[in-house]
Amino acid sequence: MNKFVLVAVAASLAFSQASAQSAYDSEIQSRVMALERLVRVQALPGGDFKTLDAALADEFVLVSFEGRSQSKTEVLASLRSLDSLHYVIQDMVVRVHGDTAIVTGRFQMSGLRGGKPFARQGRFVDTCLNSDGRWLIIASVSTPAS
Amino acid sequence: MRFALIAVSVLSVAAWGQASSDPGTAAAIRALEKQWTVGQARNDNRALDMIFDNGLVYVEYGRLVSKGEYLSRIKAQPTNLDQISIEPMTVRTFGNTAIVVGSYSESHIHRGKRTLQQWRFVDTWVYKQKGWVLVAAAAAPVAK
Repeated sequence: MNKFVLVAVAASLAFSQASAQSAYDSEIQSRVMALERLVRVQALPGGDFKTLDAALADEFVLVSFEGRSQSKTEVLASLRSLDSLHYVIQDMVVRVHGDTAIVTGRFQMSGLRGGKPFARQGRFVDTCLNSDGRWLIIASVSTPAS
Repeated sequence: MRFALIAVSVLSVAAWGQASSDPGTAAAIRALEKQWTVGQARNDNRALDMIFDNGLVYVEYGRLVSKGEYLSRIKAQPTNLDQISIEPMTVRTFGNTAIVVGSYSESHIHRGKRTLQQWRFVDTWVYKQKGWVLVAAAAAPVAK
């Protein structure tokens, strides 16, 4: 009898732990998704560099569509040099690993730089990190989609 | 893709960010990157299974694949078809997360003609119960 009760309690604890983890992951997914939308849907096309500066970690690194590695400073400078940018994302998925989140998705962008038009479409993979309760993007890769 | 390989030449490795105060972690991550390369070269799915998180996402030639899909491809592929040279990489650690940025060159022989493509990658490792595991990897072709 006692053994049965112990097993039942252990199972109940395990279930509640799993539920708590699931709730935590779901909460984090929502927060990271909101961060990504803020950056990719609003700040990027809107040229909101204050938001971009706050959302990207100082150690942020981008591997660009052309295979170049760029620091946060270089990325922001490159964005400032654009005349215009139209940016659309789809199929975004967030996977949570504790205080780290991986975001995958597709993007389409087009715009003008120095009066010349450009267009790209591909996939992105972002790594986000919980830094003292605030989620930041610490790395990103953009690559042509097959 | 990158690890069907065969010759690995790590030219230099630099660590920065928090890694500078934790060289042990950076060394561990570099060792895992090498295990990945060697494991793939030998079609050693058991070794790869240990270092890949079950939730791994991998963008390979612009296609998003899961751990299972990736391991299936490795298992089925013959060795020695491709040659990969791993070039300089940096390891940055942020507590239980490590970011590796580097490049590699991949050569193929197709219909008797050798082609070379350089890729730049970002790998993300997370420290979990069993140690460091790869949770994400993606690469972009370097424009010629």
